[in-house]
Amino acid sequence: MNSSRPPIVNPDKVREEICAYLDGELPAEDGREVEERLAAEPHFRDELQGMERAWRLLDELPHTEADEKFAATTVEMVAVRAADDLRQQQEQWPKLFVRGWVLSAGGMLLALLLGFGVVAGGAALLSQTGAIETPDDRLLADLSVLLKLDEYQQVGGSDFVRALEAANLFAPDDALPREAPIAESAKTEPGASLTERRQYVEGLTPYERKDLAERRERFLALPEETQTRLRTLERELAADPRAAELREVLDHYGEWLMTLSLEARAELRRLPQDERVAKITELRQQDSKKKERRYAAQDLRVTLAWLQEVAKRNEESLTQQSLPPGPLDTHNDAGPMRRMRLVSGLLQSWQRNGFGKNPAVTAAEFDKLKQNLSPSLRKRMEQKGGDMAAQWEALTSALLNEARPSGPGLEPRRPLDASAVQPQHRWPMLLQLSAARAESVDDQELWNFFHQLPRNERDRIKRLPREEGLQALRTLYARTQRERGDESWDGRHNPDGPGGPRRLDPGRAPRPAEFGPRPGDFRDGPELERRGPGRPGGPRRNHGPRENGPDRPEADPRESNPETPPPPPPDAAPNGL
Amino acid sequence: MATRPSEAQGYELRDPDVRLMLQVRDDDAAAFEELVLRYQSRLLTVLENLCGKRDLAEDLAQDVFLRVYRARKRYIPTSKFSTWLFKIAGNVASNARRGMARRREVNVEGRESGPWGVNPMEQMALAASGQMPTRQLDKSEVRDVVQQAVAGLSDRQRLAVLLAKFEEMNYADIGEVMDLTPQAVKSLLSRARATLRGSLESYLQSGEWTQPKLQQSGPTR
Repeated sequence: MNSSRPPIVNPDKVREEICAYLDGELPAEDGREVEERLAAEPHFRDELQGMERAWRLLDELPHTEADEKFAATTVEMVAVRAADDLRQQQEQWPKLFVRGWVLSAGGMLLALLLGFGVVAGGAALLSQTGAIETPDDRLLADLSVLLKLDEYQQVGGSDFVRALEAANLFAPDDALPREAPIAESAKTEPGASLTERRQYVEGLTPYERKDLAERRERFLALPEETQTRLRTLERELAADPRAAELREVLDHYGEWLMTLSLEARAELRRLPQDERVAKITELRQQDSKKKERRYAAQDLRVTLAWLQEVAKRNEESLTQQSLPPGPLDTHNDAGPMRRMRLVSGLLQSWQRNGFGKNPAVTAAEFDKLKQNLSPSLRKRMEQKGGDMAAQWEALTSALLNEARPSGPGLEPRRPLDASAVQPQHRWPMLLQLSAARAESVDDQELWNFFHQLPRNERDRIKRLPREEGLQALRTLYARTQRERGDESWDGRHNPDGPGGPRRLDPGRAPRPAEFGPRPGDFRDGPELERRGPGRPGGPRRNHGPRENGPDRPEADPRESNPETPPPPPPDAAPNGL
Repeated sequence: MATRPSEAQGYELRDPDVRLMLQVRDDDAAAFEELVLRYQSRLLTVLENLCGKRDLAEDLAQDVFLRVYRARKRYIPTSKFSTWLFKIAGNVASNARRGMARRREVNVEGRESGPWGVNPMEQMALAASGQMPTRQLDKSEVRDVVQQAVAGLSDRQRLAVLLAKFEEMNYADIGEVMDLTPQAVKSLLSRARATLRGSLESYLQSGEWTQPKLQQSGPTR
């Protein structure tokens, strides 16, 4: 369809054009023609709106969630069926040809079965043989290896562990929260006698016994040379004067690996030792930067919310002072602009009188702020001693350095000498940075935010042309960010408790957020939470819905809306698209 | 159709699930398990809405994953992984429907007139007979109405609609799944949407629907 040809009148063709328009599949020029007809022809508009309404009703169709056993039973079924295939192939094919195939297919089958069958198989084995009740010497001799089986399998040799330790990449402070593995309850020392080991095994709970049986089965399923390598690793680590430190590094490394995707783990395994350590260093630095950025943004948000709370409490006295003009709208004396003016007035007052003086801030109030800041920032503040003003100065400097927005399309962050910024300019700069940060959200965060929106809001944005859609999303994000942290200001309470649900609903009146971080904001190792648990032997796998988001796992934001121009909204004014 | 190496590499680079499938091809069991976990709910959603029965959808989904596993050694990334997977799913569902239709020819008489079960359009005609009292529908009843409307589409229309709605596939990807050109997908979806609109018209206009006495649950549930 274009302006040089007559408009389409065939009803079927008209309908096709409308549907393609709604689906975002029309070229821009044809889309404009549809829009012109929407403006001019009521029946055309009716047709489009009717189709769109019917399409939206399909949202009522059920979204099926697999139950937690589905994956397990599916993999088991596939393993069994594939084993049948394998057997049939063996019966039919010449021996030599079969051999290579059996080696690879059989290996995978074994792995498939180990994934889900070992727990049941191990339990059955225990009950039939009484292996744990009278553990054999081989199991006891390998006990230390079995207890660290997952960790040991991830490293080539003790040299690699020493290299990790030397690189100081997994210091104790970086430990991720984790379930207590069986190894933590082990009192077994590498040099413990068989009698002590037997006592240890006999003291295990049924769950721990089952876990140990699973580990033994997995260990025995490994090639002989791998078993030997793991035993050697255990001996070398035990003999090292820094055995405790090396084991700790190994634990942390294993836990960190579980936060990586399967692809990243496989890639690491393929690298030679030197390159692997270099790659791990790079990934750990990226982790650290991500954590720092996340903490900095949260610290700024928490501090602004606290400032608003203090300003609200002192609204009357601040109003009596000459308030500075609002940053955007000096004529609007209500709502967010007024709050910003009051916060500015508060900061200016402290600038004149000294921090925490007129209006006064008690130590308890200041402590409340500190408790909601990230641990690293709190530590830096407390290094300044007990003086609140000095701590506030440390907080301001840290925020100036770290809370600047960064991300794709922005200038790289350079170290900022906070002391070079005039004191009277520091907080105005931070207030602007706060607004700028909301506008400069990176793609991943924007994508996560998009999926937290209600469906109708997502649909509305998706129907906008790409650039408009992105801008609308950024604006909505910025608005929501601003509106967080206003709860105490308006005297309203979050009925969902501290933090409240993370789901946003900008379609309704903005829900003011709480003062303080949301659950998990300052949790170390957020990658673990987001990516889900790891392989068998690591933390328990979550068999729930797709990982990494309500709709698609590990979806690349560039693969969806932002790159696929969404169709324009059917309910928008025809000339207003 | 032969795939140029650069094309396959392009999919491998862009699509993490293609990379996982290549690991499955190399006999990585963990990668296969990961794919099952990633796609199980998406696949079940499409299959359940396609065939109308949860237990059947689960059987079909398992069959799809089995086929994926069996095809691993022949796998060459010529499209997004999801496109390849749903192409298999479409074939599995189509085979199952034909098998059921054959069995029904032999074994079943009477009311079940559609390939997946009761003909939903007959039910809707019953419902629209005007003899039943009308009332405001609750949420589950609205869902039934919509399910009936979707079940009233042809199999191909229904698959295209579900891929567009749930998988948010574009016409090219739907065409890949269904062996159609994008233009054919455009026509197919257009007809499907028109049918849906017609089926849901009275509900759309009034927000009400007649409630048939015989219809205690959805037609195929």
